[in-house]
Amino acid sequence: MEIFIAQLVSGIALGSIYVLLVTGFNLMLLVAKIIQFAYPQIVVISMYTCWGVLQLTDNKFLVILAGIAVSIILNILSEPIFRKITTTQGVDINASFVASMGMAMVIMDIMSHSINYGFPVAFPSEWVGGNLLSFGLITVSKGQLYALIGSIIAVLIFFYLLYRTNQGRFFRAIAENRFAACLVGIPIIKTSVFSYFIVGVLGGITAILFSMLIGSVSPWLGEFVALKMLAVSIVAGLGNLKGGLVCGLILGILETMAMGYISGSWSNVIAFVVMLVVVLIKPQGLFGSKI
Amino acid sequence: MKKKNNILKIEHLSVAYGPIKAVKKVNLEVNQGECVALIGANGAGKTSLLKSILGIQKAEKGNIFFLGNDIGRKTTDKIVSLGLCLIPEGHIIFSSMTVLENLQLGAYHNPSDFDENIKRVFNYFPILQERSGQIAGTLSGGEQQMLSMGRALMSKPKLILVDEPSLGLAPKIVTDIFDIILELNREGYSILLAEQNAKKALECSHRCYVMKTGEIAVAGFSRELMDDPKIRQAYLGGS
Repeated sequence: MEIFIAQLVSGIALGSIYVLLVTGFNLMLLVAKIIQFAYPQIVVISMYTCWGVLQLTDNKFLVILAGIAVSIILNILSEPIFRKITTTQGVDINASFVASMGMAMVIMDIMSHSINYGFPVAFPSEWVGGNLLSFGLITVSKGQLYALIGSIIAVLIFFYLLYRTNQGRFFRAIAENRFAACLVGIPIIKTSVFSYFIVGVLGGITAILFSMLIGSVSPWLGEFVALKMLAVSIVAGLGNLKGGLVCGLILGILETMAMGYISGSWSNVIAFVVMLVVVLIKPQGLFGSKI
Repeated sequence: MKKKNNILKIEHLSVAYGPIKAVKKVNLEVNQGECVALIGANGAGKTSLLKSILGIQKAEKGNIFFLGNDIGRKTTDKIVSLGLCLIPEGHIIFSSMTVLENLQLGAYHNPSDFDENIKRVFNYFPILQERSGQIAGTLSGGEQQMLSMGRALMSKPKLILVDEPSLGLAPKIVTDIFDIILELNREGYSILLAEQNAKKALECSHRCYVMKTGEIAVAGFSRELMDDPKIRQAYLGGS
């Protein structure tokens, strides 16, 4: 039982990071109509940025600001590339997938060549924080708590923005029916650039919480996470935001449970086998695809 | 046809999808307060013409003037903000949103007069007020068409383009929809109505253009066209 609770705690914390990633990815899919496979790589660059700024200053506010700023800038810089691909009336998801995969590889290679000789870097302990409480096997670290609370707040704000504000209604309008959105006069390009901005903010927050949770970052982290993000999105149903919330958490818990009860090195295999089975049974995803 | 008060003027407009020419050198104008019908068989190029007016389909050649502005190179959102709107065929709505949200989206470029506009829309379509909290996808076909029209009216347009409002609707509802179009016109809205149902369209319009394989075949006053034996033969079933 102790193991179960311990793994549940770290599973929820890890899952909340997946939730943030999938939410950003789904927004891009719905509004900008692209598969942004490089999104986790941008998050990883943000994590490196946080680490770099932490070497220079102890001011956590500055670190957070730098992390979010880099994520926003990179996201918006990627917009013209994707716009080139998606100008033709419909949506070419395949082209955006290839383009973003290329982008991801370039980013990964640059990181592995130029930052710390490609070795993982560790965040200082005052950033990660120690254990908040521990009963036997059950420990809750500060990082886990921050990740959980931070993502709950971020997701709540995001959903408020999407479902309760005018801007959010424009996003949903484009997501649901691009033609009708065009007819009522929503500026499609301006609105989709704004969605890159929002996803940039979300990516920066993800980077900060992720670095607090795992306390280190390596050039290959992005690719691991990107595969999981894509898988969660497909299992939940492409573009299904609410489904992404549930499936992101489930994947986190599934992974840590596998780590706790079977073996850490098999956790990815188990998680992906489960997802494979789900996709075989429900090809449209558990909650239904929205695109 | 040399009146100065035209609200929409189209000159030598051509639209092509790759090698296929959908609209060929069309000249057309709509005057202030007029209801103009655009009739023709399926595939004659009516929808392509309307879409190119709104900038959704890029025109290959030709000019489009709306209230004196050249809108041929403008993006759809700019054109809509000038006061032009299209009610598309097949009631295109945001089906997962509520009726009210659909109407709010219609007011994108005109949020300041929201209360006044929604009152007017509910006046035309009382059913929308009753159903304002309902998810739009659960409405019937006729109600969805009304929602699509109501959403367009929320922008307080100066010219309304209507594409096949009768498509896929029961005859009783078609009559209702045409009554509303007539009423809108009487209240001063200028309307360009594309319709396959030539009889209905001629009945409610002042002037009419007949399109055939992308070209304007005949143009004239609707009442005269209705009496023209050739037109009767070709488009009104000969009776």
